Amino acid sequence: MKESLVKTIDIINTDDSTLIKISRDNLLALNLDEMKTIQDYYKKQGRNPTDIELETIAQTWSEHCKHKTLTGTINLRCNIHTGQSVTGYTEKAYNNLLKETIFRVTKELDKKWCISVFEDNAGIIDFDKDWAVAFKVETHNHPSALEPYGGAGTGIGGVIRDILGVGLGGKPILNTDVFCFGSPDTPYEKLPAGVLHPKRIFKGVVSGVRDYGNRMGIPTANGTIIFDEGYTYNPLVYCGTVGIMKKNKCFKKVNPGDYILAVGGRTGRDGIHGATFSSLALDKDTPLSPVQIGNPIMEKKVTDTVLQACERNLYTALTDCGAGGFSSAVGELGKNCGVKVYLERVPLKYEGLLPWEIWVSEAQERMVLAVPKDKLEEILKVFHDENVETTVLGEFTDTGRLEVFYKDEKICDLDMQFLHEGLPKRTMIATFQHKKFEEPSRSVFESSKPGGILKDLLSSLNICSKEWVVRQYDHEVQGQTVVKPFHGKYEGPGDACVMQPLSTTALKSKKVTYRGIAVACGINPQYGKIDSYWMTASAIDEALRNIVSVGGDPEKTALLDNFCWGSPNIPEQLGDIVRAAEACYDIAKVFSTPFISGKDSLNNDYNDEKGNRKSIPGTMLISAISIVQDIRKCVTMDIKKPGNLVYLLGETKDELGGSQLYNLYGFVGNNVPKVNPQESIGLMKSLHKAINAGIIESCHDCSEGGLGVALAEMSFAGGYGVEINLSKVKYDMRKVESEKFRNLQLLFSESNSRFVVEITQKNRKKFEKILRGKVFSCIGKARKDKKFVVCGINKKVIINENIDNLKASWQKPFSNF
Amino acid sequence: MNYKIEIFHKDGVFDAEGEKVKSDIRDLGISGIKKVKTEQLYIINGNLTDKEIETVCKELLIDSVVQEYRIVDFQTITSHTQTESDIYSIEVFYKKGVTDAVGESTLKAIKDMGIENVNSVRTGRKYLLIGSLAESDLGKIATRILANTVVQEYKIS
Repeated sequence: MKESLVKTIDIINTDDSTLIKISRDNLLALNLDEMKTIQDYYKKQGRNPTDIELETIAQTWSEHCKHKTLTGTINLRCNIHTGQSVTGYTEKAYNNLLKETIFRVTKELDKKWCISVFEDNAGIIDFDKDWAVAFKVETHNHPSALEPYGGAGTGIGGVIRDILGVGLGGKPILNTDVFCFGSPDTPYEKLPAGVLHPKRIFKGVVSGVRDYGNRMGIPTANGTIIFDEGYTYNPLVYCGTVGIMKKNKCFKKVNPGDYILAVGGRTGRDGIHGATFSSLALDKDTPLSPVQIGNPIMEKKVTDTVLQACERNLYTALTDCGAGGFSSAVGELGKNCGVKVYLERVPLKYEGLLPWEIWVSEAQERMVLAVPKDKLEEILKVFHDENVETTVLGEFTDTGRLEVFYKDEKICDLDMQFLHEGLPKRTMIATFQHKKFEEPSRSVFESSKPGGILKDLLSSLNICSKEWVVRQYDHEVQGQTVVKPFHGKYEGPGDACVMQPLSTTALKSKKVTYRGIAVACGINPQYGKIDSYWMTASAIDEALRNIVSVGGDPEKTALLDNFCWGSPNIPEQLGDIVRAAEACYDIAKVFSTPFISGKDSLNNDYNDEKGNRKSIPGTMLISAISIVQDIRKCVTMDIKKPGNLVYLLGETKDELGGSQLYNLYGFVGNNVPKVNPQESIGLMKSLHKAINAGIIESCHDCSEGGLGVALAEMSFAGGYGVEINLSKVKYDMRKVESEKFRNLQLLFSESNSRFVVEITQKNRKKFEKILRGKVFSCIGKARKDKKFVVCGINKKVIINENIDNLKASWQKPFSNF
Repeated sequence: MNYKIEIFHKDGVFDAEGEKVKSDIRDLGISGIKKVKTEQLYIINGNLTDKEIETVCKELLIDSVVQEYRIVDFQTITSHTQTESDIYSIEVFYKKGVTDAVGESTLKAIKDMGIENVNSVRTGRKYLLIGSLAESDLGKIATRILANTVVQEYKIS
């Protein structure tokens, strides 16, 4: 009987095609090169691997855990065009793309306030003298495509545990979420069997995030939702968590002899192969086992008890069980020493799990701790008192080996060195060439009035109010949310959220601290259709703009990258990924904003029944976290008072490519918004100075929908109309256009690095002095009534709308969802 | 033995989930549904006395202000009193092996009440669709709105 539980798999005597078959049949997601490396290792050992050993290697070497694409060797070939034809190419080789771009910029910037970057479960930066904040953003795309509620819930659950498992444990204080879905109006007939309707995915994901976040008592206060046909088969679900921790708890250390303590939920067959699954494309027959179901109540108990144990210094290291389950968590903690694990001790949800299933199961709400022998009794009591189940799985050793036992039988014996360093480097080919899209003829816009276009834009899915979603989340719990998702008396969309994480602690010590954190994001896949470099540059600019808009310090802002792409095996897509990474380096270097953590999800592909590949549009999410010196100086986006002056900061350019205006008319266009990082950061620093001087009444950045949408949102949020004169807008547009189209360009071009700010007449001089040398102009003022009036370049009124109607348009799409 | 318990709203209490399902059905392009009622289902496996099961229902499972319960005998099919229109019932449960977090919590709560002879709890939802419907539409409603067959199973009656 005993033999049947662990199988030995013959790989040392097999040919290449059998190796591939073994990888495929067991869902290992390893390629031939990797399988052959394993074969060589076992040939030297003179034996065959057990199933659990193969599984361990596959989990450890998965895309999810090792990022083998972005750390592999990439040869990029860029075509050079002369006129219409390709006349040559340039080549560039990357040994390790991540190291040469994103890690590099952080290293070169060498900020003293970065505490832990790219090595732990999350990035950690300074908060103040004693405290640090950690931030991590994860994706949970594949599980959410199959089971939106469970997939999204466990996505949030997983990233919360990342924060709980960073250093010696952070306390989760804020969740963020960003989703990309197909259009909720997609006809059912267009969907292949097995694909859930986008509307259902949307509703399921939102309830999953809501139920998990709310039940854990963590506010969800920042995020965005993007709709594009390209996400119909593969929705994207990004979940982020911010935590706060003492500075002396930021690093972990495992000592041989420490016990391996598993804490939290029981192990079942949930989520087996999640790590390797993320390296595979979805299709109709994708199996059910990767789906996990979350239990937030359990996670809440685990969080509270782990933080108690942390406070009392009862362990020296911990990590969460995420992808790959125990195999990854224990393997990772013990990689520099060695481990002995006794699998029969693992408490199970039900009988019948094979040893390898116990080892790689991704059952949720589990943490693994390294506990010194003399602390065991005390720590067990902490968990026992709160009804959290614990198991001593084994111990850390100094053998450099990963040894797993099941009922006295040694079923896994792997060299840690091979397991963690043995992965052969992938070599991949990438190509890049500029894409060309149809430019809409100007006559397309001829029949529409600017006011009508503005209302249509406000009602478009990517701009309209997401109140239906936001209101389901608790963004107030813990009582630390200062700048909330909606601003103003009449509730417009804020740019970023601000938290005051030490308010309660400060009360106890009677020393009030007004220091806070601002959290924001930037994302725009429309731009990526044209050029992933400028999409990424724009996302970084947008994230930083949002931070600065509310009062965050651009000189103390850290970034997180999240790449989501279709397939890195397609050279064009990999080329886009490389360009995106290059933009991360270029822009962040000038902005002086280090990357502290990141994550990639590179196989967002669906193969339909006819074998057609459907890839998502390459999508880069940039999240930003910044320190706010004094939360009392934070600014919101609603117009505050009639008579105040309205300024536009930054230059407007002929950049309607990828804009929501073009999207509205079914075009992509070509003039994608670019970023001049020197000018941008200079402007943002000046604006920050003005905000700190307390002379900015309201501030909103121009993003989707450009100046027109930003003004409308500020106006209806405050309940005051505005009158704006487009002839005052500073712009740089070379091409001659009709008066009508020029007005549209000024209103809806999505040029980066622009802000709309409101100041009082009194502060005019002071403000202009701070902004000296930057591009800015006073474009109008706030009105007493509710009229939204815009004059075109020839001073004729082109828009005259009531702000209530504008708001109604903005609220329409999800008002009765 | 298995006890099946159905928790439902008292008459006149607003059933928010029912309204949501009704509008989702309308969005599917299916008309003819007049009302949707939802019920929470628990299947408790164990050896409980009648008194114990009653205590569990009253003290743990229902909110007595707005909800009522009925204990369903597995052998008999529930007959509904409403007759003025057709009633279709769809029950949705997690498949075996899929974690049922609410079920786990319920099991623990029952034991915390000092009732030890209980082995497992499964939870599910029951949807009563009131109105006239084509048979084929029922399947659509079940798979497109109510159950995700990746992790759940459903039964139409």
